[in-house]
Amino acid sequence: MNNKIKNILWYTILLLFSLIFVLPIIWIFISSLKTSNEIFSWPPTILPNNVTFSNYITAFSKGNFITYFKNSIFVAVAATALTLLINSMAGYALAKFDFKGNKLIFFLFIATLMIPLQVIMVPIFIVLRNLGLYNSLWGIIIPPAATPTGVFLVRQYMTTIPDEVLESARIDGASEWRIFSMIILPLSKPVLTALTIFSFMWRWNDFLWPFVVLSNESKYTIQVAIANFVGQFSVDWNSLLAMNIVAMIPVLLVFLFFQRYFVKGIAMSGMKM
Amino acid sequence: MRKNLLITITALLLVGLMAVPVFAQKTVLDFVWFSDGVEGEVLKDIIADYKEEHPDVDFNIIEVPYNELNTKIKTMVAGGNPPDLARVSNPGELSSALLNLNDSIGQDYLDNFVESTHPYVMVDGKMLAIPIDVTANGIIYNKDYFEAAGIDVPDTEEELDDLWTWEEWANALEKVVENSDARYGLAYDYSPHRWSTLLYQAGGSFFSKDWSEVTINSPEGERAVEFFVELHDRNIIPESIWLGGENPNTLFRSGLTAMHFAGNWMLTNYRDNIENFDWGVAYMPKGKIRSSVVGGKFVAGFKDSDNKEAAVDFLKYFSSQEVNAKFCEESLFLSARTDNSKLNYSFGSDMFEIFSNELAVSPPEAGSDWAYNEAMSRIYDDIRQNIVKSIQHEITPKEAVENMEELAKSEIENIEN
Repeated sequence: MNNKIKNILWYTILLLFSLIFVLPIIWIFISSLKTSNEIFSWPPTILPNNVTFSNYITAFSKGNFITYFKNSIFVAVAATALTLLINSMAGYALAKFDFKGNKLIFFLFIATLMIPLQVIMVPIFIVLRNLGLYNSLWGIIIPPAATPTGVFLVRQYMTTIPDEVLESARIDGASEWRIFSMIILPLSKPVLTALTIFSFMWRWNDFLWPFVVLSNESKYTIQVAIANFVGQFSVDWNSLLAMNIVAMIPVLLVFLFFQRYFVKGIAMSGMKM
Repeated sequence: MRKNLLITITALLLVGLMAVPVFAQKTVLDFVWFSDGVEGEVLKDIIADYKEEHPDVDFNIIEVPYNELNTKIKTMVAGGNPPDLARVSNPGELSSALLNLNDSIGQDYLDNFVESTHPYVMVDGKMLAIPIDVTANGIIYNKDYFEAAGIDVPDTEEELDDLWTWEEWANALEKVVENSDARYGLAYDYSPHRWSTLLYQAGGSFFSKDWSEVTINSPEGERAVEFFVELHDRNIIPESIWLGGENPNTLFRSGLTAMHFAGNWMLTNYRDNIENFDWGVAYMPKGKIRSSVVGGKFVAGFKDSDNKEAAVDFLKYFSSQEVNAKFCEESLFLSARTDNSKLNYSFGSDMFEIFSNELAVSPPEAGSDWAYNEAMSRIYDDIRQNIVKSIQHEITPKEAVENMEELAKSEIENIEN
C-alpha cells in the first residue's frame, strides 16, 4: 500500500518533468501546422483550425534542403565515427596504461573544456585555410573530432574494466591491438553508444563552427541554413518552425535506436576515478 | 572485420584530406549577404543580368543571419580570407577591413545619394561603401481599431498641417484601447534607435552635428525620456516589451496593440502576414518638430580581397540608377539614390510616400548621431539601460540624460586616446 502511494508520487513527478521537456517540442510541432496568422493569433489556439503543410512546402522551396540534409548527415556520421575512433583509443591509453604524465595529459584534455570556441576560432580558421580545408565538409568534421568530454567518458568507463582481463589476454599472447579491438571495445559498448548519441547530436546541432567554415551554399548544413530564416528586422517563423521539426527527426531516430545502451552507459561511467 | 573498418575510415579520411579544390577559370566574387524579405532573390536576378554582360565573373553568395553578420565577416578577414563584397548596415564597424573607394569610384559619386547616408559611408575621409537603400522609422496602425473607436488617423498629405501633438497622440491611443478590441495602444520597438525618434521630435540630439559636443543632457532630451516613461505609466505601451523582451512585431500582428512604432522595413512582413485586419502607415506626431530617423544598408568591398577590380565594377553596376530602382522596387525598399525617390512599387506606394516625407523633414542630427558609430556602438546598451531604469522609476529622466552624457563623454575620450 505504502509502496503504491510512493510509486504514484514518483510517476506523477516524472510525468511532470517529462511534460516540461516535451511540451515545447509539441508546441513547435502544432504551430508548424498553423498558418502564419494563426501562429500569432490572440488568444492562441491550441490545435490548428486548418491543418496546413504549406509551411513545410515553402520552407523546402526556400533552399536546397535535400542537399543541406545530405551534408548534415555526412558530417554527423563521419564526425561520429572519427570521434569514436579517437576517443576510444585515447580513453583506453589513459585508463589502462601507466606512463609518465598520464594524469597530466588527462587533465590537460579536460582543461580544454574551459576554452570557448569563440576564443580559438580565428587560429583554427587559419590552420584550416592553410590545410585547404576551408569551405569543405572535412573542415567541420576534423577539428572538433577529439572531444574532451568523449575522452573523459570513455576513460572513466574503461577504468572499470578489471586489469586481470587484460593481463590474462596478454599471457595468452594477444597483441595490444587485438586486446583493444577484441576485448576492450566490445566491453565498452555502453559508453560507446552513449558517445555515439552525444556526438551525433553535437554535430547535428552544431552551428557556429560550420557557419564560420562553410562559405558555399551547396555545402551548408541544416543548422546553418535554418539560421538564415532570421533577418535584421523580421523572422520567418513559419519556415523556421517547420524546418526545426524536420531537423529534429534524425536526432530522435538515433536516440530511439541507441537509448537502451545510452542509459546504461551513463549510469556506469564515472563510477570510479 | 573491425580492422577493416578502421582501415576504411582512415583511408576515407586521407582521401578527404587530399581533395584539393579545383581552381575555377572565372573570377568568383564572394558576396556576404543577409535578408529580411525577398531582397536576396532580387539580388540573384540582378546578378544573373550582370553575368550575361560579364561572362567571366561568377558570384558565390554567402547568406548569413543578420546577428552573425559581423562574426562571419570578421573571422573571414582575420583568417586572411576576406569576402569580395558584403551587404552591411554600418560600414564604420568594419572600417579597418573595407576597401577605400576614393580613387576607384570617387567621392563625387556620393552626390547621387541622399545626404543622410553620407556620414555612414565616409569614415576618416575615406569612402568605404555605397548606400543602396534607406530605412525610416515610423508608425503602422490597425485601421479597424481606429475606425471602431471613431478616431481619424493623419495619413494623407492634406492632414500634414493638423498632425497630432504628443499629448493628442497619447490620448488617441488611450481612447482606441477603450473603444476597440485593442488591449494596448502602442507596441514600441526595444531599441534606442527607435526611441531616439522622440528625442529628435523633442528638438534634442545625442551629439552636435559635427560630433564635437555631447548634447543629450538638455531639457529636450529630458522631455523625450519623460514622455516615453509617461507612455508606459499610462499603460499605453505594455511594459513587457522594454522590461520583459516581448516581441512588438508579434503584439501588433496578433491584434493586441493598435499601433506599432517601427519603420518601413515592416511593410513586407505585415503585407505577407496580416489577414485579420486592415492596416496602414500614419504620420508620426510632432513634438517641437517633426522627425524620423534614417538608417540604411550599404554594400562594401574589402581591401585584402583578390578581386578588387571586379568588385568595384559590380558596386558601380549595383548602385546605378536603373539597377538600384529595380532592386528597391522589387524588394519594397526606399532607395538611397536621390534620383530614385519616386519609384513604382507594386504595393503600398502611398505608405512609402509617408516614410519618404518623414525622412525629408528630419533634422540633420537624426542622421549624423547614428552615423557616429564609434561612439554610438559603445553607449548603445547603456542608453537602453538608462531608459529602462527610468521606466522603472529607479532614476528620474533628468538623471537618465545626465548618465548618458557622462557615459558618452568618457567613451569619446577613450576613442580619442
